[in-house]
Amino acid sequence: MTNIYFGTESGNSEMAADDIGAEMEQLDRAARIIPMESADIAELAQQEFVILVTSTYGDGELPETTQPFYDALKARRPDLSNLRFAAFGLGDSTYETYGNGIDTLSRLMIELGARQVGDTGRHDAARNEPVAAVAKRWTQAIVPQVADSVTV
Amino acid sequence: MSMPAHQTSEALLPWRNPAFRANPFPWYDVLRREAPVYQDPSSPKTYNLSRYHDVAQFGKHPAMSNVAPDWVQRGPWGMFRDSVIVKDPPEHTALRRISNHWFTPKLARQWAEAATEEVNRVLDGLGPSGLTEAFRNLALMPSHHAMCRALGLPNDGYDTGSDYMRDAMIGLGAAISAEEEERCQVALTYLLDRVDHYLAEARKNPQPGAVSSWIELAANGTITDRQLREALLLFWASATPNAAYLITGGMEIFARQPEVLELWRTSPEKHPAILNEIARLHTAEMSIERFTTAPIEIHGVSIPAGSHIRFLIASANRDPEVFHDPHRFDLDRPAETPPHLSFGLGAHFCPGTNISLAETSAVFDTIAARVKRVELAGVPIYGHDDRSARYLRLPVRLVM
Repeated sequence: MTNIYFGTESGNSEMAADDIGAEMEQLDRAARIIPMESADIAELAQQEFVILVTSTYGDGELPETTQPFYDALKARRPDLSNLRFAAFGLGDSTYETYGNGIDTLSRLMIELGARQVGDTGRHDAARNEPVAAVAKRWTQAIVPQVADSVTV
Repeated sequence: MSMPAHQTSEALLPWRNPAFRANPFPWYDVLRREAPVYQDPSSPKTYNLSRYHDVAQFGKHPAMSNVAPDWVQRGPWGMFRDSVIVKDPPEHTALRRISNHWFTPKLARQWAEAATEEVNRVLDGLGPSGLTEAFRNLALMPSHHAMCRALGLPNDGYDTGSDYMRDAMIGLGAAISAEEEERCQVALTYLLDRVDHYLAEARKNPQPGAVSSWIELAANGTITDRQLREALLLFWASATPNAAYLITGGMEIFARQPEVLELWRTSPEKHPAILNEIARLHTAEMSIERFTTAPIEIHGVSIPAGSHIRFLIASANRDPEVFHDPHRFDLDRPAETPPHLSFGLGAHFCPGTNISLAETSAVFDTIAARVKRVELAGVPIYGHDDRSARYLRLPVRLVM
């Protein structure tokens, strides 16, 4: 079972997390979607592999429900050296701060010892492509990279 | 070097000209070409931006505020003093989050089930010729039902409500008459009275939904009573006609280009592209406005702080520099085509976007599932003013 944590301002990351979860089910990988505001940091630290999804808000800030998750990680500094994670961000490339949300969160994860699997997925609102299509393609690329060494 | 804005005695935006109101696009074409930063002769502190890239860039520029400076005569809409439409971040963010929680894409789909139910009711009641008026019956009322489900309010009273909302929107125009201003005042006064009525009912008999939660937030001091009333006025009264314009625009496209309805039916992966193209061509709020908090320069034109900027969204959405053959419904635009701006941009991006798209999808899904063809049963009647586009009637025959 893979935990997919999403943080959001207006609910689009929730849809992306659902799309990623649905694609994982298609690939016979069970997934659990967890809103970041109700995430248990101790439980996160015990996982082997998780997926993080967040948008960016305003001038490159974290969105409403990612912020408390980030703050809790930063305050408690769990040892994440046994954790691998994949990251998917939603943003708008017409802003200079495109993708800041997921990059900020990924940096903290790595600082705490976690290792990132694959490339950060990015949905760009400035491009004419639906979130679901981008999320699906990214999931298909990520899952085989995880399966090699971790029980998903 | 600073240059003067385009100034001429001939008005390039003849706000009250009926031909301009019916079809402003030929005027927008001239403006984008000849006067991309157009200083309005009727209002010298007002600058009109019409090119896509200018609207997209400066629409979210940090020097653009929603707070009007003192010189601006705000008219009847000046009653909005404490809601998302007249605030900037961070105050705007806090207010906006309160509504965002109720209008996520996921919840919006749930609310839109009410639109499906209403369309099914209309289809069940069709006469032998399958005639109906698509604007009210397949767009406005189904969307209102979805909004009321989100809010947790009864769905009555919107025939009068939407008529008055039209008067209110006309009052936002660039050059309104004294009579239009008076009608706008009457309309907003009526609509606020309905809001107070629904709030009183909801306090007596709370129903699940946004309104009950906002009432609690007002009771515990998170928001003020004024913010509660203004928010409800925006969501209950003003949101749905824009969604209804989008849906009706789609119905007209289904009638004129039956292959689009067929595509909706057979190719769900095309839904986002179909919605985007319908929304690009049907910009309900054709312009939005901001006020500069610092001097800025656009195309060599120096614009002082405290100026009024009008962003001509409908013009941007049909800028041929960005959208090749811009008046054509085209599902094969390249992936790098930037998005349409019909829902606005930046922090003030329309909070009703998700519910509006969910309502539209719900109506189109129901039509696609039950109706073979949509045919025009008469000439569409539009009621555009200089700022808002709308249908008054779209007579259709639904071939089941």
